[in-house]
Amino acid sequence: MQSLLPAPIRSGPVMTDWFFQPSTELGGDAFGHHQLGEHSFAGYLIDVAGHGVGAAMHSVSVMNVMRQRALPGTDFHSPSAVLGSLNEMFQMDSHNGMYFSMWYGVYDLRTRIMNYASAGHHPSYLANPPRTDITPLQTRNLVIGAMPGVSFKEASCAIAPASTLYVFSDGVFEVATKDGRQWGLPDFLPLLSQPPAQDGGEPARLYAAVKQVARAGPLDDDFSMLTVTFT
Amino acid sequence: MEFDVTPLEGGIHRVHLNGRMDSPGVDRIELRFTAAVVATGRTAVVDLSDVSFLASMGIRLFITSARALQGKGAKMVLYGASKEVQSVLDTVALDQIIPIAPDESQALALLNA
Repeated sequence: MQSLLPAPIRSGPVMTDWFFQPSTELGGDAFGHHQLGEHSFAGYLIDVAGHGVGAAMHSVSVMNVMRQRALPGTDFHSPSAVLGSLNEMFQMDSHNGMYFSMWYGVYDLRTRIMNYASAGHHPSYLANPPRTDITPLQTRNLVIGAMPGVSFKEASCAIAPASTLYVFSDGVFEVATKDGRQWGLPDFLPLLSQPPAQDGGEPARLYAAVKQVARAGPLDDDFSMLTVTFT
Repeated sequence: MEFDVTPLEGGIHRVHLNGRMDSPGVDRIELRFTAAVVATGRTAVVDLSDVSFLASMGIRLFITSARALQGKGAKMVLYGASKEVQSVLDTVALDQIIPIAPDESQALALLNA
């Protein structure tokens, strides 16, 4: 999986970084980003339900469709269209009962507007430079593969200079802690308000912070964190 | 994870789930659940009040069961979820294909709607 992930982008109008730590049992996380023409940039994360070889292979199949833009007749600038086409292509009846959640966003460098859609996925978060404002970005849609013919809603937001988008899987926050509690998303979110790592390494900072509260041993699920910084 | 089935009036089944709906929990009940709930082809109201945790395998069980029942002309309604479980149901927008009610009386009312 790691070999399929895109190289981080260290300079330019859109910079990316990521951290991926697979769970001991093969998981179903995958993520990526790519340029869409001259003016647009797309990023996404998927999480196939379950563990094992089947879930891992399914995530690779979806990822390859995304990397190759292999959705006939689909405008990849439209998050709702992409999720709709993926839903028709990956119905769980035809894929061993597997479904997946997804977050997909497309940023237009000219307008500084990002269109996004999520399917059965928790929000991604947009942080302003001083980290005083952490905005959830989510649209309420069914998971992908559950039912054919479903339509997907998308939304849009303006991106201020030096904002950072955090896109991550639930393995980032669904951790058992040292004191026997079960962490959830509200427990993780305050970490996004902390000063980010300087000179890169923000996803790794968050991984280290989560590991510090988690019980000993590997995390229960894949830890997938993608950050996108808009200059 | 365990469950029991109680027949109600009108040929409806009340299915009471108890425990964690994670991978091991769902593995434990899946075959019996399918036989007892889906194979009968009876409309089911599913009580989630004693479900302490709901993960993706639990969601999958609900989706496949509801779709199978729909294929037999029957329905499934979930009800009584705790705040944490309801949050999971909301995130995956499961109510777009399976009705979800706060309690049994409203679940039964949804069936008659």
